[in-house]
Amino acid sequence: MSKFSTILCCICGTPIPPNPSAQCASCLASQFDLTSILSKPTSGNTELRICRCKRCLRYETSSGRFIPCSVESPELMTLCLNSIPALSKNHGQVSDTQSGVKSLTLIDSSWVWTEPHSKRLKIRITVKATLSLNDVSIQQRCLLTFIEGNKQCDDCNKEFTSRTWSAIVQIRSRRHDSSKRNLTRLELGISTSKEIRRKVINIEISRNGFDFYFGSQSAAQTFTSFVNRLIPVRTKHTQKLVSTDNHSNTANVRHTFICDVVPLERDDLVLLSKQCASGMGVLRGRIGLVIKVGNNVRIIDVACSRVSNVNDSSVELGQESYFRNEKFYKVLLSAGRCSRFVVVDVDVCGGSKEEEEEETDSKKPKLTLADVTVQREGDYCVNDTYLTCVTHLGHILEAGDEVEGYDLTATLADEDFDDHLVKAFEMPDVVLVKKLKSGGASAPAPSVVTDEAATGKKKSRRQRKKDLVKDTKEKNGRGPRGAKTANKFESMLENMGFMGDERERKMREEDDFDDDDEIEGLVDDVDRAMLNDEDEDGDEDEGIEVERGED
Amino acid sequence: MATRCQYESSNEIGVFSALTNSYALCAIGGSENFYSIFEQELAEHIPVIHTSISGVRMVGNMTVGNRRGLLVPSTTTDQELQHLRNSLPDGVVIQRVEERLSALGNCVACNDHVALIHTDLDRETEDIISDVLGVEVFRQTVAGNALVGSYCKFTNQGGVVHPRTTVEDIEELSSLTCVPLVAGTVNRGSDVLGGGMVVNDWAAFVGMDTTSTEISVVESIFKLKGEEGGDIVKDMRASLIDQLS
Repeated sequence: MSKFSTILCCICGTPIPPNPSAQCASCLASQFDLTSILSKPTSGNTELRICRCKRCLRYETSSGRFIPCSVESPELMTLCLNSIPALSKNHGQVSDTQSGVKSLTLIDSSWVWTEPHSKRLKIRITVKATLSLNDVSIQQRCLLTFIEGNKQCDDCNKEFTSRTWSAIVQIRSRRHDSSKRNLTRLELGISTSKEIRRKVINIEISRNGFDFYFGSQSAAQTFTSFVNRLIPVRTKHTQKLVSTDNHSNTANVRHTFICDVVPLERDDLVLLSKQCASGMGVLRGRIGLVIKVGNNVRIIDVACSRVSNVNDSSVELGQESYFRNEKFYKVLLSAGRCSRFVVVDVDVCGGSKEEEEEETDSKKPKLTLADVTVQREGDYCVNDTYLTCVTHLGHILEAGDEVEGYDLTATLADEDFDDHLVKAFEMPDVVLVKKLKSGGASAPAPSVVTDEAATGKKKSRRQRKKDLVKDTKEKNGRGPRGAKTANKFESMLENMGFMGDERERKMREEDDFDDDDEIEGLVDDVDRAMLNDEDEDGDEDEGIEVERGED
Repeated sequence: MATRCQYESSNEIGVFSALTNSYALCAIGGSENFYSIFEQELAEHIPVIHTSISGVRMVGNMTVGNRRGLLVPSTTTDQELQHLRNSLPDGVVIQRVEERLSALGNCVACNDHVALIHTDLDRETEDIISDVLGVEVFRQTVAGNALVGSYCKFTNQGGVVHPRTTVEDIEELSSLTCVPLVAGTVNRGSDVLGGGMVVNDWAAFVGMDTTSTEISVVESIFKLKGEEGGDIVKDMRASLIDQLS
């Protein structure tokens, strides 16, 4: 290909290779300033503007919707490019011919850093323009600045303007010990459902619960029924007439839904009075242990007979059956009053575990009754005080395990239950609530051989990993710190009402607390723990260890 | 000296006028402004002839001529031919050409010695051009365009060719015409040189849009500046000659 002769730019006389406009790049650029064409705002503005809601930090699109965009994200870039009038008009056909530009095509765009508080967004775009002169196309890079304006979005506006809500759902939990576990459960359940949260205008926290504000009565009703699926609640609906308009035959009515959350929590020891006529089933006039709070509350007899099936000695209370006889239920003890025991001997009642598992319905938790001999943790290896009881935890307990339970000999000694309990009820000495850890903490550390012998199977991978981690920590000399963090974390979760059982604790131990990012680790674990808790509540019991499919 | 002018607000003055060393043709227009500019520059030296060719005003496009003769297309009326004969100076031969490509001005570019012609012109036409105009004839293209009359313009002093002509082509054309050639534009970047300007050995007219740079190029290559030409132009010319060599 032979070389073209140079020509002189017809404006400035610089020698250039020939092009259709016979002008050099700088002359073209000075003639057709694309930056000024592109930064021409819509009528009524002096500069390119992007509106953002100050409170929810969402950006307004050209169609008037508000969408969340992170800084320097592709979404925000789309939004910025859409708000350039010269580019959006007639698919790039510039209407004013005065500028001499026929059409504009976007080639490339990139962000230019701006100080976050400067309220400016800067983008550098490459634009190809076809000029009306000789159909020359030129390509230019321009720096455009957008000014970030404030504009309250409709949602925030609704929230801030008074009298936009027409229904309120007040969720309350009334317990004598003001424990918040049920509310936390509820909060988690609500937080996982996007659909439900969408219609909530505002949330306020009150002393014993939350207030949810809604725009319409139907939205509030949907919400109430959703809550009722998570946990048994008693709903009361009241309404108040705010104003009426006789001419248009409309009325402004405020609806209030009061939702009382069932005051029973998991691991509560509950007295079910015999004075109640019906609705308590086999547990009438007995003491029960709450083993599950889901859309029903499941209570198991603490003194069930050894020969009976577990499912026969428990009842499930729905919203209606509880609140009808509300005053006949009395919470005697709750989780905070548990003390620790060490399992000395386990004797599974009525056949082996396998049979039990086959019999039980797959949906129900696989509970197994067992005769258990325990010692208080303080008495272990000290004296010969043994306590025996029948417990529903037979399938997970092994000799040497550490368990939590209520020591009824010590705590309920002076109470008078004669009016409430049936004659046949024999008060047990101890009620086991949940397993803490296997192998016995205060027992001498078992060697690998004895451990294997005790469990009767090879150690699981998880177990081995746990040991490995422990060893590594000791070797690295990081043991004390890691252990301390773990303990702190455990107690925190315990206070929140999560992670009570063996499985979750095991899971936590899997994570090696790294020195560098302990905090992140903690946060992650809390999140995951919450999710786990939520997932399991639906079909499993928290106090129950069900072996997961381990590899 | 190059003069800027417009024909009825059109910058394509080469369409509406023709200029040689011995006469000039001018289209008949609504106003006499265009004619007056030619008259003012040329009247002392050569006749400026008002005419039309076969009834249309495009006298520059349709005719080709030099100091010795003028060729007009076969569609030219007898009356027009008679008028031209009467007006042209003695010794200038006028001849009708029976040619399919009747826009002779677009197809032929010539000075007093050489003519570059469209590759598709008839053999007879070539002979007539050679006889009447007294020139050596070469069939050539300029930057791939066969319309040599539109895309190049040269006189006995020098010439301008289409801006996209390669260096080799310019050298070849330059050796054929025996005058220096340069790639250039008129009318603010227009490559239709034959349409944008008319020029002879001592005068040039360009379209109104032509920039000063373009005028400088035209004046320097056609040697229209007198001895009093400025240093800048000399420099520019030197640089242009550099590029050519």
